[in-house]
Amino acid sequence: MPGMGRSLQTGNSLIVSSFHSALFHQFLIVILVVVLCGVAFNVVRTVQYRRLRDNGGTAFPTPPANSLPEPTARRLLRIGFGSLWVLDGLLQMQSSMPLGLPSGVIQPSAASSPAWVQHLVNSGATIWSNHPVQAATATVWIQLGLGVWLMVAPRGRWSRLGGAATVAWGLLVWVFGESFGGIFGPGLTWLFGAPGAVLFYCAAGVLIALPERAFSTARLGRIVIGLSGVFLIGMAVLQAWPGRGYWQGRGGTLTGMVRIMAQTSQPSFLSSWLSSFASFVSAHGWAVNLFAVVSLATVGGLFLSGRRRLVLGGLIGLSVLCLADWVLVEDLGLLGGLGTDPNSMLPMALLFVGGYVAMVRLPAPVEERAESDAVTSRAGPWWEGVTVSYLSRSLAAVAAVGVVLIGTAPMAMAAVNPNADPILSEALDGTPNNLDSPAPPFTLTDQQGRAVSLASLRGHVVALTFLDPVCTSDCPLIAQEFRSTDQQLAGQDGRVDFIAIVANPIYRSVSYTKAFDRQEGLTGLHNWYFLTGSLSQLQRAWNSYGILVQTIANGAMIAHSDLSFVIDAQGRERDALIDDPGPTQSTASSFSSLLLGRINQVLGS
Amino acid sequence: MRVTALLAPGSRTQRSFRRAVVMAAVALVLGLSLSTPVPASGATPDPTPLESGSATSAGSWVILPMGQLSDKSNTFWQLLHAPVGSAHWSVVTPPGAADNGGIVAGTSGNSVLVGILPNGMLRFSPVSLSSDGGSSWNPVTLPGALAAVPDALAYDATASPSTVAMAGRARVLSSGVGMSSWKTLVTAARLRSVTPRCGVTTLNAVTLQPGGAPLVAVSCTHGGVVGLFADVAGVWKPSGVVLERALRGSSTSVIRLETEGSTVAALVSASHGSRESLVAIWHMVGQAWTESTPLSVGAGRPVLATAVGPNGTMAVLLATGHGEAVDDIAPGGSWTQLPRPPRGAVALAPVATPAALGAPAFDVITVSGAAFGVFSLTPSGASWANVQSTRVPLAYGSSS
Repeated sequence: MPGMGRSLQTGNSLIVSSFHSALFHQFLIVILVVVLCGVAFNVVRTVQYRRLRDNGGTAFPTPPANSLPEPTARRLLRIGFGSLWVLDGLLQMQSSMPLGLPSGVIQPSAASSPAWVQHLVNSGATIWSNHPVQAATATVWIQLGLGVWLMVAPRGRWSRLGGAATVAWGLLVWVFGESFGGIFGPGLTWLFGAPGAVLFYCAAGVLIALPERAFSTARLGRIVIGLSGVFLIGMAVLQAWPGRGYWQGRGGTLTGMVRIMAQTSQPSFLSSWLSSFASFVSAHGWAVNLFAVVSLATVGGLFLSGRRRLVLGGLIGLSVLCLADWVLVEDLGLLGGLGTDPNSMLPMALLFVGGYVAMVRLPAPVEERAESDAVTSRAGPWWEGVTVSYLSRSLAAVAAVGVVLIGTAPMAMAAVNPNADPILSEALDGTPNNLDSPAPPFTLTDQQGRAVSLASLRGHVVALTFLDPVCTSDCPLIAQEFRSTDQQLAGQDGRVDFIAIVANPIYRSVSYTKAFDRQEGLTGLHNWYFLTGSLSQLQRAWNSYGILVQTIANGAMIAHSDLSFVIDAQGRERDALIDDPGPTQSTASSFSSLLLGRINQVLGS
Repeated sequence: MRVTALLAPGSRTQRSFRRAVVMAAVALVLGLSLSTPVPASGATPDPTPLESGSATSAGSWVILPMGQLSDKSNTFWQLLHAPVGSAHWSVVTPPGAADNGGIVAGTSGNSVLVGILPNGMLRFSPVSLSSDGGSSWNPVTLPGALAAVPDALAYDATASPSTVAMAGRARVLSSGVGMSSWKTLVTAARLRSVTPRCGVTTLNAVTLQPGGAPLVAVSCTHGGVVGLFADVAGVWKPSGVVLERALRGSSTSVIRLETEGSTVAALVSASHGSRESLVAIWHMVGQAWTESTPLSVGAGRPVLATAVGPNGTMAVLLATGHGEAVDDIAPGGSWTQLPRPPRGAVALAPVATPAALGAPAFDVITVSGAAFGVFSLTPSGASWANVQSTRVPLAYGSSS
């Protein structure tokens, strides 16, 4: 009924159960992928064993003699960021993610950005909103897959490819999930996580994607630490910039942020810490900001010095600062049911530590260093000479890639499908009622002034609804969903008629149905009929289909039931669907998918 | 040169590199700071308030908003009516359509033609006619959306055409009694070509003069010219009204235009720089236009509501830095400030008693949520007294 203001809560039971069900089914596919990789491992090992036995050999292939361990810095980045991806994937499993992420995370992060950023981000949010279950499950598997991929593939192309995949997915999340980390919005500050946690994942991905020889000298580490110093000094200057609310205590930006975070659902001790810190900032805002500015600038300067001891000192200081900010300002980042990652402090500290290690912990120099323990030099196909460790890690990486693809495929399909998932409509309005009874007859007047009866449409499937021609909210949306359904019917539209009966006892003349059609661009549809009649004719139609139409005085809209029917070619009611379009374009668009499904079912029966 | 070569310890290139990165940091911060959006400065001009009152020989009408006025979807506009001889105001809002975007009315005797402004997803204007003081309504159809100004509709069943309507701010439509078909009466572009003296920008208001001829008001950009154009036997002619010397440099807009009895009354807003004034002008059949002294309004005193009473009397409700103020005026007179109105004043209602004819007499209407109160001047004229309090059932949430 227009005006009843229905909305979808993030904990909607149908969506949540569908999300969990999809996760479970996809988990079974993951298990299958792992089993297949296990089988492949055994096949290769069996072939190797038989070939060994045939050749009278005694030993399986072993790593090349000049094979060296993976550089420490690379391993640290790979395992560290792999673990973070796994944690992010697990956080994406939270029940409120399918419906909560667009409204609770994506849109708020874009709200203060320029219009072009909002437009871009909304295009991504729309994909998620239209297909919340597919998108949420896809994100879980992509991030779990990426994490496992990074952790199990230490060497060679598989590993570097994992770094590149991290960069690709990270950039997508940074743009669409974090609105470019808020760098185009006002109030950008290191304290709140600028320039976005995922950008540090991307930076780590770039390092992992580099050839291993890049870690063989201190240059890479110096570059990372140098750029980190530039970044920190930039953040210090930004923090010190006047007029941005950070020098202010009471009513200042930092106080406000901490107070908001304190309201997040979390253990009481954390909330208490945040409240105490907010009070402290409120009382000593200027001093807190000065401390932040000086700390960032000092650490940045130490990093830029390039001297090991100074860099180490800066790194220790920064780690302490990151930890304090992570707890007292970012509130760990993963609480409240919609935390998608542990925020920026952990990945940033991890990246800087990785850079420092790359600067100070260099691999032992050898003339001809093998970057892989892949294959020994044997004659014959590659699988005969592959080492067991390389084989197991490669197959594990293949399994991880398979997990990523389990997420990527439905995400790609969702991205190219403009029609929202019908589950949204069912979650909002309930599942359609299956009927099998004669549809009540009616004879009314269409927008051209011609008499149209239900009997005259026998042989066609009829989608029937009730619309108010001067409605300001739901009816135009429902009409558009009917039109969208008609467009999706493609070649079948000649077998389906779309009918609306006027649901307004006052503004019910043909001139108003015509005006509505003009407004909604429906005048060119050959199978669209907007029917009206005398008040008694309309009341008979409303009563026979159970439509409540109520005039509310004093400037309010006519209240009427939002109900649609699918009537088969024999004139029997087959489905009754509540067509309340809900609060968003996605929930409205979902109805057309649901209606299309029911019409196709009736057409096919 | 490879980037890593810059980092050879102690080299000149290393020092250059450090200087470069520090400068890059400063540049980065400057760039980011400059990218911070700056709030837009300068306020947009206030639209003409829809809160309005008018009078006919049979009674008075007031249009005002009720409900949660800060939330458009829960703001419900009402039409109030008091027949001549009655001091009681009744809600006679036409039913059947959501009017959260506002309503406008054209009145004539006991008849009123009400148009609902587009709002939400409704992009045309439902229109209803009542010939019995709002007791019953007959919907009629207007092709398009009415302009959001108080005098976008004019109706007189005895005139031909009987109805003129502003379809947006650039086109006036006209129709006969049944309003079954409409034609374009005139456009802003057509009026622009009539005379270069005005500098016509947009249409402001319409009325049907005592003889039935349409009169159209427009905004003028040139020299204090008041944009009034009359249809004289199919030819559009400017009224020739130019404001007094002190306002000759002003641009003008007509914010009210009403015909009552034999008088046409217009309220003109004149702007020159930051100065803004209201000037009332009147025209009686066979006589020249007369002009009032200006009333200073503008940025510090925006107009909140207007009313045109019997015989062309007028009143305005102004916001001031310390509450609202009411000023009224009669033809040939000057602006008189009335006592400070009660809190919550949103509209002014022409008094519909025979005794009030000839002299300005307006009530103040206050709104608090779903209740309105009517306040009349005490006999001494020193204060306002509450004479009616009415609660109106509103369907909050019905338009969201």
